[in-house]
Amino acid sequence: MKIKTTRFGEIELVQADIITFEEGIPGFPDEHEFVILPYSEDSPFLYLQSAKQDYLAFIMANPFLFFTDYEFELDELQLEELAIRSMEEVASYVMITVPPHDVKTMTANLVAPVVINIHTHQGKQIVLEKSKYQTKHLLFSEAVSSKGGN
Amino acid sequence: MLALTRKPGQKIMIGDNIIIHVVDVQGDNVRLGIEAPKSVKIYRSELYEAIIAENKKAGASSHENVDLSDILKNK
Repeated sequence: MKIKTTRFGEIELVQADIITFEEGIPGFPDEHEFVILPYSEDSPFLYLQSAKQDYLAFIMANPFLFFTDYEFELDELQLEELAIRSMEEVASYVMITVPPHDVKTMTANLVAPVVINIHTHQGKQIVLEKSKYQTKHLLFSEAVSSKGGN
Repeated sequence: MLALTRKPGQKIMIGDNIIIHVVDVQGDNVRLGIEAPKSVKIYRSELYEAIIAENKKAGASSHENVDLSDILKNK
């Protein structure tokens, strides 16, 4: 199966590459299929590319590379929805927003990580309702503080 | 939108299995209790709306010809 992307041109995919977001993601409730593409070989960044809309892609990053204290818990319902039985099945990413012309002030949304079951290829953006995190945390500052921007 | 007026101690039922309890009112603050099945997610709307707004910004920002290739080297 081929998908068209604005960034990478046409990509050949197999069904196994597709991650299913049953509920879409907040703001994009009709987007149920994505693929994860590396930004480049050595990069900590990745693209979450819509398998349906060629222009729609999000930059994500492994949060633990930038925020060493980052942690969150999944509740029973969330574990069930993603069919997670052990932490080995889980990959977590956070969405990155890059202000125009100012790459160094890019921010990560730590209050809503994207959690993926790497075996079943299910994904979900989880809202950490009770956490101290916010939607904008600078990647390039010393530690995770509860003073994010909102 | 349905608007109702309730007093503390009164409840509102939504469908068959969601109950909103008006617990207490103190000045500007209304304390609500919500009973709902575990499958129904409950969020403060400003948090959910902030996430929607941030996702929309994130989806737009990845369109820029952003060069992230030097990022790790700077870290």
